[in-house]
Amino acid sequence: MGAQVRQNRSLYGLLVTLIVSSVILVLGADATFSYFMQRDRMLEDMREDSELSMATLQQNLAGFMESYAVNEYDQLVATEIQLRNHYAILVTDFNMGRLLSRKAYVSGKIRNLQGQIIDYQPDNPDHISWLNNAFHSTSAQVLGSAGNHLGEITIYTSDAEMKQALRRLLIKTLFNNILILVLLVLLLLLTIRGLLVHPLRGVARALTQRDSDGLPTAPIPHIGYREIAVLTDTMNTMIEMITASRQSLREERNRLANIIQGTQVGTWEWDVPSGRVIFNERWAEMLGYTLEELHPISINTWKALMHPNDLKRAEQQLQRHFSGEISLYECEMRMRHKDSHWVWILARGRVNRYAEDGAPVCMSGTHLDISERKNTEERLRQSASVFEHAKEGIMITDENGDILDINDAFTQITGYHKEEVVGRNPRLLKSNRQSPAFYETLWKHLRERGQWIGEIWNRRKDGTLFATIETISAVRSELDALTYVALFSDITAIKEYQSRLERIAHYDTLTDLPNRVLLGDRLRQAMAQAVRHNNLLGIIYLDLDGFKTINDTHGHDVGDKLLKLISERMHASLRDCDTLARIGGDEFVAVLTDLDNPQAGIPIIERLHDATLAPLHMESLELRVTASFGVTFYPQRESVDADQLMRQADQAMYVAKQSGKNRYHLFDSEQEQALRGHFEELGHIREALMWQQLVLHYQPKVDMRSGQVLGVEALIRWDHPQRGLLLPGSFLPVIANDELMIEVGDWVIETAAAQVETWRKQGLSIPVSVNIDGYQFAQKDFIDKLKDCLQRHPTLQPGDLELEVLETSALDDITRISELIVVCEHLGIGFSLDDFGTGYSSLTYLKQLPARTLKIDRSFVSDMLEDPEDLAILEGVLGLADAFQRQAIAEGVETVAHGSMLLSLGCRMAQGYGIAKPMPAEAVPQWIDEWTPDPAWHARPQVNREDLPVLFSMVELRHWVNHLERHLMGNHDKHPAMDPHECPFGDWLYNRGMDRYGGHPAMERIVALHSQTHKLARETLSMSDKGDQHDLHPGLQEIKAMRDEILSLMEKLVTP
Amino acid sequence: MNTEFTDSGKLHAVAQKPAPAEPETRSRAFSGLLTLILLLILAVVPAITQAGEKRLAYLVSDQRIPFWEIMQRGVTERATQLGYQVTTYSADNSAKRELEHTARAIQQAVEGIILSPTNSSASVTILKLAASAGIPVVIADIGTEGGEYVSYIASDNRKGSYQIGRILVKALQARNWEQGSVGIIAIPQTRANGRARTAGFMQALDEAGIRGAGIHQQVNFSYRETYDFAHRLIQDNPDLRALWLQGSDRYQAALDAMTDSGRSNQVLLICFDAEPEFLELIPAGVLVGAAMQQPFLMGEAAVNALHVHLQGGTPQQQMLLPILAVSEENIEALKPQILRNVLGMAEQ
Repeated sequence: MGAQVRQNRSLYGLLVTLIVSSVILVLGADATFSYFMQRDRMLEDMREDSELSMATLQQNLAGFMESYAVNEYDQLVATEIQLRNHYAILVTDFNMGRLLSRKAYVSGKIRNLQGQIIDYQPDNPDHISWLNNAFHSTSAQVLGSAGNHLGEITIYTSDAEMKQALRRLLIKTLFNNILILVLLVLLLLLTIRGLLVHPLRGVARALTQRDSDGLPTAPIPHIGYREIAVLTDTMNTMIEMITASRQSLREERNRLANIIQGTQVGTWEWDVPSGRVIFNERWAEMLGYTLEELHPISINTWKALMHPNDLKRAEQQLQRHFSGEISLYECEMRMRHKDSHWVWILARGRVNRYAEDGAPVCMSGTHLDISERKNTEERLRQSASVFEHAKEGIMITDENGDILDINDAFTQITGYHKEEVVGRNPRLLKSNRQSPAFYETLWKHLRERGQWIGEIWNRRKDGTLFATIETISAVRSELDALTYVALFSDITAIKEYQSRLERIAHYDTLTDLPNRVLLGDRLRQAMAQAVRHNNLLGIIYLDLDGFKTINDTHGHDVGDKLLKLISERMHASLRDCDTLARIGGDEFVAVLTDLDNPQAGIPIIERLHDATLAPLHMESLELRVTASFGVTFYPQRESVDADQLMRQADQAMYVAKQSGKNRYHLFDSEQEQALRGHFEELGHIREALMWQQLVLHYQPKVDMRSGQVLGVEALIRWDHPQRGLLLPGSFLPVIANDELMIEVGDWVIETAAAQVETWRKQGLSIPVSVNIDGYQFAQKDFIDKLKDCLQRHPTLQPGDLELEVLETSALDDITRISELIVVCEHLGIGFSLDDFGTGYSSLTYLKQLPARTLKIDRSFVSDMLEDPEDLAILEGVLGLADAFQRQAIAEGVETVAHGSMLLSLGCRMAQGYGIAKPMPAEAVPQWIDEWTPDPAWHARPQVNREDLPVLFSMVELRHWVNHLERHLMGNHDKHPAMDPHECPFGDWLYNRGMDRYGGHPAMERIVALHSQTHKLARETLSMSDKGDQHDLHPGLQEIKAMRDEILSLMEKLVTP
Repeated sequence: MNTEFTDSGKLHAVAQKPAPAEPETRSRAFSGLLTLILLLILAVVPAITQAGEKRLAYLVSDQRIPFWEIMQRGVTERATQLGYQVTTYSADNSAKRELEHTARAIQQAVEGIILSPTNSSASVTILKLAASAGIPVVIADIGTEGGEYVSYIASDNRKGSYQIGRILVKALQARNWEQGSVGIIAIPQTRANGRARTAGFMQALDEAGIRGAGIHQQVNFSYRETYDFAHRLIQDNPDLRALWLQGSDRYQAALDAMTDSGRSNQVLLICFDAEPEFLELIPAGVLVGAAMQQPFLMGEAAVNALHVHLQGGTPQQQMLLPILAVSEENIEALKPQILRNVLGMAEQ
């Protein structure tokens, strides 16, 4: 057949030949027509261009020709030939011809062989030849404005370009047609091939690929053309029908095989007469064999493997089936596995062919492995036994929680019988002791982990509560049914015992409030929480004021009741989140949590305080107590633990107690640290007072002129066992503004008063002045105490005691001090203002303060001999005292010269090292006996007011010499005035001095000495400038000697 | 040859010239005399030609204009020195006559032609005719739009204008007038020489940081036109400190405008080209200076170039002759050059 096909003519080849011929014929005709059309169009265009150019040139050339503008019309011609693509344009100019003595002047443009436009040259043979070969020419006359014949224009066109254009057209047409031809033929061939030839080949190919049954393995491709589709569809339908029929058979066979395979069933087919049996592979596999291992196989093979105990029953069943007693043979039996264990087999079968005599001929059936089911049945049987006899209550519920079963123990524990609970929800046992969240957690555990273990409080049928420890398990059966098994034991007794123990350990039995142990736990938890939440914790230590009295007065029962009542009130005044604990007799601690700042705790503290204040009614009694609160907060700048917090609150509570009770005090950790050292020091001073280490020394105050001892000033000293005798500056500042200061002040007054009495007993009458601190003055009971003191020392005379108060202290509260002074005066106690001059004294103040004596501060006195300003202040203070009729005592008299100067100024009373140092009381009498004033003082008169400048000028002279000395020693940058007339002393000497004392015999010497002093000073200064430091000393000594002589002479000026 | 040259602007000067000063009267008389001589020469040229002497033709657009007349004298002077006989053909600004003269020169078979054409377009035809006759041509001053020629002689307008600009800058600086502006009355800027003059002058001003006050282009070159432009520049620019006239013959119009505006002592005037009276006006300070072309020298140079060619040499294709930048400072030193090369008065 294949050979025959190859001998047939190709339809495809025939189609190709016909199509190619047709296309060539059509395109050739079209190309020829186009060529001639194009040629005619080009010729027409050339003619039109010539006419247009001619018209343009005729119109424009005349003017140029008439004006002999040859270049201009030459350019016009060039433009036109370029524009219209002419071959040549010639202009024949008769005017120019005449000008050049020719017939005509011929010019123009022509294209050369390269197509470039060049000037036409009439005598160039090439140009003439080119013109002769022009395809076409046309000429026209050029007429002047007067109609005269100016010349001619000739336009030449060439067919060369046209020929070239036509050649290009021909080539282009040919190329286009060939291209179209090729594309068209290719397109047609591809179309035929794709639409017809290729599908037919596909059909043929599908038919040639066949399976073993001779049927095409793939369907015949569908062809989209009706004519071919009818054919292919019919063929496909036929093939599909045959294929489906075969497939159906195959599937049925497979399905059967799958069922046998899927059910894991062993099959057997028994030829009863012969005993031959056909088993499938699964049958052997159930017993651990392969069929091969069991060869030769017969009905005896089956019997041999069967359990001897089951064989008889199996055979009996078989006989019953054979006899028609049972329609289906069915028997459970054990068969020995290859590894010797027994496999439970369910055998089923039926005789499917009988002999004519009714004997079975062929029987077939199945063997099924039922070992697992048998094992499960056994386990269930055992479980049922445990369920019934267990001591724990067991409850089984279905997936919805409805009770399926309970055991006897359940009934014993709960009181519910099985029929009362089955089908009901375990909620019937609910005690309401557990929160909904508890049950949510329980169920979450069950769902996620399949088991929950924990304690639950339940309710019995009789309503009593009981605690259980319970295990609930989610059990999923083989059938995927979910059940819950709850197993529980009654632990109520254990729980109650445990609860009692905990209560005793953590709660106060009287008030039922947390005790110290539980408070400690809660405080630590609250501290951790405060840090975590970044807020504050308030700790309040609370002690009832006066509780002991109530206890003592009304007995412990009343006391206990009071504690219970007041703790209930206090507890009610707190928030739920706060804790109130009783930590001892009448001591409580409250822990306030979740405070934003310390101020947030204050309202709660105040509520707590109010709770303690309200009267308490018990039986016929109305009792009142107050409470002292110590408060501290956590966290703090420094790390603290719970015990430290308790101590801080305790300490603050103690302060509150000390401050008068019935109040609260906030603990200040920083202040506490600072005060720790201070308090230690205070303690030491207190001890010193207690152990009589404080002593008084006495410094005499005298009248320098008369030598009379006016009195003594008591000055405190600390006879320190290790550090020796300490001056007041080293310890009095510690007790400033402290209670101890008052105690010390009281002691001083007391001691001084006692000393006066002692001396009086010895025959001495010496007034004593004591220094009183402003803080002591401020005490309300100061006067009372003073009166008490006077009463204790009745021998004291008015004036024996004098109080010295600092000018600065007096000015703090001038009105009160004034009143005190007046009161003291009435008591016979004098007053003096100490360190006068250091405050901002004014006349107004001094007038208001009725102090008897002014004590001039030592700083002015000690420098008055050399410092003119200090002398001026001193003189002013003395003037003030005199004006207000007060006594003035100068402190700080260190030398005789100081005393002399004071006497000169009119101040007779003084004290100071120059007179006597402070001394113990016992030394005073002897000193008084022995002391005599310096003789110079005795003779020292007070200087007249007019002579005071002498004293000032003497101070100026000392000042000048000191200045010079400091300068020479390098301690002063600038030397004093070197001109005798310019130094302050010279200023006085040569002016007012000479005026007043010019006639005095000493003046001449004074002037000479002064002059020499300056001269020597200049020389010394000069030496110093030269660096001769070693030679300065003699000069300086000489200057000082001359100074002393001048001062001595000056004394004479003011001495009568 | 595609290089385009343009005319110099001398064409229009004669028609609008105001009442001539004495030197101009002289110039005209001289011009008329020259024409007469030329006619006589032309009458005898054929005889000379036949005698086989070397002859040259000078085709000039209008010999009545002093510039061309001076150039003609330069041509004649130098040609004579070199042993040529020169025939000058003045077209009197007529294209037809120029072509007739060209035809005649060709007919007489001159050795060479020196051409100062009526315009750059007409010169193309002349060059073409000469080329067809095999006669070499040297162009003097006015250029051509095309055609073949031996050499082109012109003035260096840009450099000359720059130099005269520098002179003006110095004059302004000497008076502390640099902050003022300078107005320009220009020849048409469509001409290459006009653009070159403006560019050179502005370069000098820019370098000194002096502002221009504006530029007016002359159209008819009349006295009135120049007066109006000068007057307008003075009125419109209160800070105007100088006027530059790109020509010489209408200087009086500019001076009159300055006087009439009352600012003759506040505005300087500087010119291009020269008039004989400039020899007095510049030293007197009436004019700051002038950039003077050297027509006599140009004529000589044209003959030189032609001579070199005829001798078989290759003259420069283009020769730019310097312009004399004349000021009060250098006028005395340049006077011989001015008299000879600018005014053609060497022999006077």
